[in-house]
Amino acid sequence: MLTKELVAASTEPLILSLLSRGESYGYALIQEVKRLSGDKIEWSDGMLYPVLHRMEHEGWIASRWGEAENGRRRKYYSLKKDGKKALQGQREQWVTVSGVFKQLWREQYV
Amino acid sequence: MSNFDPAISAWRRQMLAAGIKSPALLDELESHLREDVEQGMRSGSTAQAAFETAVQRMGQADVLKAEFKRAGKMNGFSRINHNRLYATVLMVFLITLNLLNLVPTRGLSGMQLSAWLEQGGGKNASNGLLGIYSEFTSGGFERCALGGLDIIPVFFRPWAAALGVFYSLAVGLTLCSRILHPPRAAD
Repeated sequence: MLTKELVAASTEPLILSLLSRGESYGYALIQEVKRLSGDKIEWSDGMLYPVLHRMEHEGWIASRWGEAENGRRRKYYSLKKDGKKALQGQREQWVTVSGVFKQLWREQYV
Repeated sequence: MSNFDPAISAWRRQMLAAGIKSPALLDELESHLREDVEQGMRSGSTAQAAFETAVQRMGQADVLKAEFKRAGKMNGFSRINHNRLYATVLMVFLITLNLLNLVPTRGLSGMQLSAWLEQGGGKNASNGLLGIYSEFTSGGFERCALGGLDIIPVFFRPWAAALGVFYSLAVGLTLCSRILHPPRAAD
């Protein structure tokens, strides 16, 4: 499990990255990140929706009500232009950090 | 899933009571809840258990409310540039003061007062307090005396007022646009 701080820091870039693959909705985002992390990242509903709404307010993502296959209404989120820019900035930072770790740990263990 | 409707309604009432009032948000949370319940039932839970688990996972209404409040705090009003806000308030105050100059003061006639001062009314009146005041306020004495107390726009009142209005509008518009589209915090 990730620490609270790391979850807080990674939620926005993860949402941006997930949405860069196409529009999605809250429930699916939670499931997808859970699957990709091998059940190690489990977002709570109470945490995700406030973040989604804040990101929408920031102009990073847009939302629309749509209909699911079973006829139920769902709120879909998609990436906006500013969101793509934000993702690019965040991505560079995460790549930098993970690059440093990779080098350090390779030196250590090889 | 219509058999869930009473339970969902009860859950919505609970959320409403805790202060989550936006129908769109409640709809979104409800849609999530239903999705979660269905998933639970697909993986073998009873309807009752799936519903309870889903509600529990969603969290207590007051906790949810607090989360939304916390997330909301990071933008909007808390990001207002306070210097601009104060500048706007100051300009509005000055404009009001200037507009007050247009309100006549009862019982005072500027023309008569001025004639009286020119005739040397009182002792060496043009140097007296009233003379200085009347001169400084470009006749403010015969109007609302309070409005005459501001010093800056004394010499070209209409221009100062126009500039003030223009500046306030510019500041106000900027402020509104920043509230509606808050800039994102530096990474």
